[in-house]
Amino acid sequence: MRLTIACPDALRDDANQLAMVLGYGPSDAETYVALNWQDVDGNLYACASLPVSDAFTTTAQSGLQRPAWDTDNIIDMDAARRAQAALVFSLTPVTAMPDKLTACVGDDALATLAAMGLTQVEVVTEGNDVNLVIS
Amino acid sequence: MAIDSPFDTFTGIISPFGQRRVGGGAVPFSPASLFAGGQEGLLLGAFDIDTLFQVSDGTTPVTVATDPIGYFGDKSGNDNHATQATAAARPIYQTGPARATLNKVDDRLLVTVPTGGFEGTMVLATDQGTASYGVAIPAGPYDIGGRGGRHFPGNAIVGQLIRDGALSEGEAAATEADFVEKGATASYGAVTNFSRFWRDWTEITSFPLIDTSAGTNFIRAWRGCTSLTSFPLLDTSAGTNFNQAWLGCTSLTSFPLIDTSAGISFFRAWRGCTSLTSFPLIDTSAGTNFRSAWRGCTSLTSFPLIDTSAGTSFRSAWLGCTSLTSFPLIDTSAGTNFFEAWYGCTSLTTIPAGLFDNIQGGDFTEAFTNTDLTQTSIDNVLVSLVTSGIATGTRVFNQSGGSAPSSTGEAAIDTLRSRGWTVTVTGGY
Repeated sequence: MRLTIACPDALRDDANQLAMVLGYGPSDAETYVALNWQDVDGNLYACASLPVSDAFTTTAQSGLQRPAWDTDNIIDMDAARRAQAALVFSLTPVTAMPDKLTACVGDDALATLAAMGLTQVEVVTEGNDVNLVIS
Repeated sequence: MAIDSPFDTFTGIISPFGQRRVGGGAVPFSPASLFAGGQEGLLLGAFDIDTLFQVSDGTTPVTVATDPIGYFGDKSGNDNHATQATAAARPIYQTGPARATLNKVDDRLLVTVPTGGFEGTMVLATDQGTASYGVAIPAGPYDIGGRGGRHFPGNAIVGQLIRDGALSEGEAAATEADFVEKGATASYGAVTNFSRFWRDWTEITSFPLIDTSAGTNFIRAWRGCTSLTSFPLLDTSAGTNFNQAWLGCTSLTSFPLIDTSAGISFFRAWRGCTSLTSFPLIDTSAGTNFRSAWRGCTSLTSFPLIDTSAGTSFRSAWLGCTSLTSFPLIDTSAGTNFFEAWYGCTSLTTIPAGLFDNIQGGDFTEAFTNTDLTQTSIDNVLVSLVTSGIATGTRVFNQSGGSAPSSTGEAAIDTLRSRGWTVTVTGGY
């Protein structure tokens, strides 16, 4: 199944620690990077989407163990546990919340994000400054 | 030497049909041959499973559908392999046809383009269409797959070739044919939704004449393609939504007479196309939303008499078009919103009489602020607003810069104020 996860700005650091615990190595600290999504209230989110096994959801909600690869104690396990405590799993899309790590099941990642109430951030100023700010 | 000679060892002739003549016989064309002379670039093929690995260090082979692709091996011989170290951002291998599927949220692989960059041709074969582009890619990390993980012309990569040094038309066609034979979709002709397909693909220097005839949604399709200097005469006749389609294409110096006759929204369509010096007489007769459509087109010196008869919002439409000197007598009869429409058009001197005679709403807040209207032009505007008869709803008009109105314009201001308008003009009347 495909899991699509919305991580609010405030939880990014913690969520990336959790991603390393559940993932494969230090590069998984780059799972939640760009705040490209926003909810109706303007809260920003970094999002990820990936196929996972049925066992993944159980693992992600069980007691966290430092992975074998982390012999240098790179992972902040306390931060990972904070992220885990904020984790919300749903088999159907639910509205993303700015204080939760919301993970929803859905085959189409973009459709799932839309159903979670998120849209892509579009930065185009609309003031009358003729010097354009477009990103 | 005759190409068909049994002694012929020449291997460089490639027909448009994808067959290379070698030693008198036809052998299948291989895109890898395009690097035989030591050219830089890369060649990726999802159909060659031996080049795919799950982990970015090139370990754990991809063997079955749904395996992640963390390493996409370069077949050009240049070792420009595409990798993704972050597990969640890896494309997924699928079969039927073999392809690297992208979620358009965060999936992408990265190639490190070597010093000197790539300036040449990119052939990109996807599940939705195949095309060849002129590209200039600087040295450094480069996204394979979704630009920023998000924007991609399709949902999966079947094959991708980038060569430093332009391909000939025949070479590009042969490469496209090879990828199509391996499972890519040849034409974009069945695609209806082109939203964000090439958004922020700043490396594209020339865009091909692909089939977009079924496209209805072109929202942000080419937004931010900052290296495009021209645009082909694509078939956009079915397009209804051109929202931000070419926004920020800052190098476009010209624009073709594409068919936009079905277009309803042109919201920000050409905003910030700062190098456009002229604009064609496209069919905008169905357009209702022209908000910010040409905003910031700072090099436009003239504007055509397009059909805007259905337009309701002209808010900020020409804001900051600093090189416009005159404006045509377009049809504003359905217009309700002219907020900041010509704000900051600092060279605009000439507005024709009767431009607003039949408008439906009176929001001209900052509409002519910081312009250079002649006395005749400001008089034309004010008299036309009187003619419109607007006496309800928003009734605001602002002008600054340029000339103050004459007694004709002042009389019009008196009338407008008697109808509840708030009017501010140069000279302070």
